[in-house]
Amino acid sequence: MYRSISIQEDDFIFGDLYESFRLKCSAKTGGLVAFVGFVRDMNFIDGESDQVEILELEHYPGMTEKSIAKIVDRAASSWSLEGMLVIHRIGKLKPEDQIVLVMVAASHRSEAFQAASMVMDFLKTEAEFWKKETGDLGTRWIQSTDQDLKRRESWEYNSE
Amino acid sequence: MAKVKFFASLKDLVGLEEIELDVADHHSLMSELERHLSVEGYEAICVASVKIAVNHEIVEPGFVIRQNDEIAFLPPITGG
Repeated sequence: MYRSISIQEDDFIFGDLYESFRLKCSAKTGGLVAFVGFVRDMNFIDGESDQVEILELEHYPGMTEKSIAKIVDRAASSWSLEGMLVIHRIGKLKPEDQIVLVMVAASHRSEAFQAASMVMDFLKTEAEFWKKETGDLGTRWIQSTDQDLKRRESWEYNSE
Repeated sequence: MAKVKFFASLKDLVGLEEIELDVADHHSLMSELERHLSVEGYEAICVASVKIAVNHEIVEPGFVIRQNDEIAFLPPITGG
């Protein structure tokens, strides 16, 4: 299975990555699912809406790469996949910027959809990234949500 | 000596990015940190949701520390 993981400050060009990714996947590939996450201009903090100006992402160099590799391994052992690509950006981002890209190629669409969804749920809770938001309510570290943890835990339940 | 790192909100609350300590296990690490950090900083790293990694692997309480290990205090993750 082709795999590629990148943590980078630089933006990415989806079209270029899509073309090179699909050429690296075998002829057994029946389809590809891609998810691109963006920085929203509005966030809700303790019931108040915050007009976001900057979203800054910190990570743990060395550990975060290993954690993403474990997430990719987990997906590869759960479904029959032909290729996976994960890009997560760090540093200072602005609303509308691209923040994350997950591409999964598989023989069958259901596996590609499920694997992409699982990888995103695990990136939110298992890969060492932390978001700091600056907006009209000031600067603060974003808190993890119960909803994200529940989504992650639902995969444990499903795999039992 | 072991290198101890603090990330994200913990880095701000502790007021340090990194500290070097001569420690052998979880217990001696926490007592040394209690001695070196402010009350607020020490309380922040003791919160139940904070995870500890040794050499990039999450560890459970009672872990052992060897020379040149890298220890990290990690607040809850907010990636994706």
